[in-house]
Amino acid sequence: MKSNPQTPRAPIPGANYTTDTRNYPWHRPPDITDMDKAIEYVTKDLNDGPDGFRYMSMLGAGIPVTMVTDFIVTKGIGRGKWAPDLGILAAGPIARLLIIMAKTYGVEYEVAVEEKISLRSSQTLRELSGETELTPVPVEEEPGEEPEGFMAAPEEEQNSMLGYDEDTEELEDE
Amino acid sequence: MTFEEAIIKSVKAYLDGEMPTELLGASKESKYTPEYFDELEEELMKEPKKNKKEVEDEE
Repeated sequence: MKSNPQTPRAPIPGANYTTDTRNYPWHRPPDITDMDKAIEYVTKDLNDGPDGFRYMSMLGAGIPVTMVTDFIVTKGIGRGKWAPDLGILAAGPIARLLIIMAKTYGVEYEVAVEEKISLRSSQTLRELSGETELTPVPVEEEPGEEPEGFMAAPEEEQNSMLGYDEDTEELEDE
Repeated sequence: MTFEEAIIKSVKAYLDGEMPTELLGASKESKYTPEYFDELEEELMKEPKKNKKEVEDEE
């Protein structure tokens, strides 16, 4: 069957009123709008699931508390749990929770509230955790693209195309 | 200010003992104040850690 060339490819006017708007969690109202409830959610997440141990490993590997807090807050926003402004407000208590947890488990941590956060590569984290030795990865040079058109022409031809000739160059040199 | 910087600022303020006053004015008083966490930390650090044998003996 042939397609009708008259069929429009764009949404018809009013389509936005009938389509499902629950496309991304952060596009709909957040689940939590109260700071206490947000902290209770994080506390449950830290204690019940494997996430708590993951965060402790991250702290032990040298990732600062502020960055782990950032992970938790961003994860909550991504899952539609809270809006970014509530996440920022809850960041302090979340960081305090992480610090208390780290102290209880005897994990060494750094808060890093003064310096700017710098992302660490996976290789650096492996080195910090003592997993494997760092092995330099050889970087292969990619073959450059063959010049085409004007740039592919020999220099003499390029000069002649640009209106230069050997005589003018010599005169310019003098 | 980036989001990361906002997080750092918020954490720093909270660890210095400051609460987001505007938020507190807009909603009910938060339970999770710096004092609450100080008490929680004290309580948790006081609790002696039981090893596996002690737990088994108790049972």
